[in-house]
Amino acid sequence: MTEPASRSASAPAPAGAPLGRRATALGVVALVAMAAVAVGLIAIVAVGDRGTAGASPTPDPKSFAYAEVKPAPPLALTDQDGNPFTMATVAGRPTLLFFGYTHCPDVCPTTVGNVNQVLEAVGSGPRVVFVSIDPERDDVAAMSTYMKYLPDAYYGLSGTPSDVNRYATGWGVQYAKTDQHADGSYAMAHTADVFLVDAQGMLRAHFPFGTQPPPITEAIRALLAETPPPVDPPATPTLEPGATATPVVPTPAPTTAPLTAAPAADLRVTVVSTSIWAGATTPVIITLGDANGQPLDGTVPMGVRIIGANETATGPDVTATAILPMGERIVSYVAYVTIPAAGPWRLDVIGADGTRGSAPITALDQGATAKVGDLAPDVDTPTLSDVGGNIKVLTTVVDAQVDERLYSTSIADARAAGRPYVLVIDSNRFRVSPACGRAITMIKYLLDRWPAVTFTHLEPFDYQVITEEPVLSGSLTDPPLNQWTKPFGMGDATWPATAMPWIFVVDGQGVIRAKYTGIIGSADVDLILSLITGNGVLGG
Amino acid sequence: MLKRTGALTLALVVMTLVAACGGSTSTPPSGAGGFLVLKNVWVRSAASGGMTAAYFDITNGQLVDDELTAATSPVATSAGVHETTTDASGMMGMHEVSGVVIKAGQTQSFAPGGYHVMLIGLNKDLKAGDTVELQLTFKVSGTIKSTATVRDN
Repeated sequence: MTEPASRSASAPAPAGAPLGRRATALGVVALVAMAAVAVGLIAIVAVGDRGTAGASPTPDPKSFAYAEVKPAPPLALTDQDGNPFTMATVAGRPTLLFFGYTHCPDVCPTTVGNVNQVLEAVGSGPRVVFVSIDPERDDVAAMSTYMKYLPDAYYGLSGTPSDVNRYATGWGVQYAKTDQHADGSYAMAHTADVFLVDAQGMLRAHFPFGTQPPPITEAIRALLAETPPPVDPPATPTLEPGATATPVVPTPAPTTAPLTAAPAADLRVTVVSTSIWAGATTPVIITLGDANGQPLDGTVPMGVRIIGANETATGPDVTATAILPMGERIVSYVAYVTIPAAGPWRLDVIGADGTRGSAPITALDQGATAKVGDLAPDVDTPTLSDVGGNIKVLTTVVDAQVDERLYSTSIADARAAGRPYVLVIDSNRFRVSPACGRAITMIKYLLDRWPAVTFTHLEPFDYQVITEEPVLSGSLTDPPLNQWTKPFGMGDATWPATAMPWIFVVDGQGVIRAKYTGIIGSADVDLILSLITGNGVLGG
Repeated sequence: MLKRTGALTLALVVMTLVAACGGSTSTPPSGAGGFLVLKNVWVRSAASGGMTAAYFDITNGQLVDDELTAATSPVATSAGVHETTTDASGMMGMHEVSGVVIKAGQTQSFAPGGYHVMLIGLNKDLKAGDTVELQLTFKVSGTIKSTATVRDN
C-alpha cells in the first residue's frame, strides 16, 4: 500500500514521480549537486532504494471473496443530491461500498484514489458508495461538495447519527472520534474495508484498506461477466472472454452480431432486460444515451422496431415508455415488442427528434412456458397458514434469511384481490443452476420498495422435510417439479426443470407482464412494476 | 568519523536544496556526518478549505538518528505529523505524533495509511500538477524546505 509506482499509475505524470524507480543513487547525487551549484559543493552519502517500496505480488482476487455469499446489509440514507438511497438504488450493478468521512486526509482519499483507478479500468457500469460515518460534519451539502471532485459513479451518503450508526453496525463497521482538540476539531477512526456487492445485491468480497486496484478490478470484471450492468458501457454489455455463462443465461454476448450492419447511430442503446422472448409480446427494457454517453431524460418520445434479415422490420414501430424509477437517476425505456422467432435480432430505436440507435438482442424460445400477455395460471400457491406455520415446508431458504412476507399470500389470493404480484420460482437448497438462490435474494430488495405488490416465493421441486433437512424427491439432474410450478410450463425439452430460477411479473388483472429466467436483474422486475403501477412513468 | 565523511567539511554552509523530482536534502549541523534526503514528495489533491496529507520517503544519510518533529506549509493554516494506525477491532484512526524517528542510515516512508504530514485549512485548491512548498523540522538537521507535487493518487 505504500508502493509509489502504483500510486502514480492513474495520476497525470507528475514532475515528482517516484525518483527511485527512474534514477540511481548516483542520479540523485547528480541532481542534488546541480541544484547546489549556487551554494557550494556538497557530498552526499549514497542513497539506496528503500526496502519498503518493494512490490508485493498481486494477491489472488479470490482471497478477498466471502466464503459464504450473503445479501448485503441494508442501507437507507440520503445521497449527495438529497435523494433517498437504498441498496436497491444500485441493484443491477456491481457496487463498491466503503465508509469514511469528508474531513479524512489520509485513509479515505487513499481508498478513493484506488477505487478511482478501478473505475478507470472497468468502465462506467459499476457504482461506488461512500457512506459518511461523521454525521456531525457531513450532511447532504458536505457530501455534495465532496462528490464534485469524484467521478459520476459515486453516491455520497449521509444521515442522522442514529441511522448512520444502525446501518454501519449492520455492515460490521465501527467508528469513533479520535484526536479531539480544544478548538473542536477531531478525526474519526473507522473500519476502512471496501465492500463489493454484486448486481443481485449479494455481498461478495471485502478488500482491506490499502488493497491495490488490480485485484478489485479483477473481482468486478468477474461480476460484470456474470451480470452486465443495465446502462452505460456503450452499446454492448461487457462479457469477458472466457467467462462461463450458465446455459440458461440469455445475456446478449458480443458474439451475437446484428444480422445486418447497424445504421449510423447517434443514440447509445443499452439493453437492460435479461430475458427477451420470441413468439409473443415481450418487454424490452433499454436505457438510452446521447452520442456522448449522457443518459437521455425521457422528454423525447422514442419508437422501437425489431429488424431481421434484409433490414426488414418485423412490425410497426412500438412506442417506448420512459420510466424514472423511484430514487433512480437514469431513465429507462420499456417497449413491448413482438419477435417472430428465437435467435439474434437487431433492436432499432428511433427518436421523435430524428436520432437513431440500435443494439443486438437475442430472443429466447418460450417453449411451453406461460407467455407474456396471457393470463397467469391461476395457482393457489401454499402459504404459511396452509402449512400450520411450518416454513421449512415452503422454503429451503435458511432460517435467518427467511422473509415471511414471501409466504403469506397465495398468488391466487393476490389475483382475487386485484393486486399485482411477483412470483419467484427458485430454490435456495436444490441448486440446479449457478443462478439458483439469487432470485430469492434479489427480490427481498424489492419487497420494501413495492408495498402495494405481493411477492411470493415458490420452491420449484417436490421435497420432503423429514427432520429439519429438506430431502429432494428425486435427483438434482432430473428434479421433480411440484404441482404449483408445473402449470407455468417448465419441464419440457426447451426449459427443463434444471433451468432455474424463474420470475413472473403479473399485473392486477392477472396478466403476465414479464418473465425472466437464469440470472435476473432487479431492474427487470422494478421497471415492469413501475409500469404496472404507474410509478415513475414519464410518458411515451 | 569526520574523516570518513570528508563531505562534512564542505557542508558547513547552511543550505537548503531542492532537487528536481521532489527530492530535497538537508545540510546537517556539524557532527551529524551526512544528509537527509527526501524523495517522492507528494501531496494529495484537495479542495480549498479542506485538508490533505503530504507523503515522502526520508533517507537519513547521517551517522546519527534524526527525528521529524514539525511541519508547515504556506498553503495550510496548520500542519502536523500524524500517524494512521489500526486498532484491535480493525478501525483505522489517525493521531498526532510528537515525532517520527528516522534511524541513521535508514529510510522512513511516509505513505498513505501510515505516517503522513497533515495539512489543515488549505487556503487554495490543490490540483494535480500543482506544487506545494513544505517545511519539515528535524531535531538534528533543522528545517528543510521541499517542494511537493500535487497528485490525485
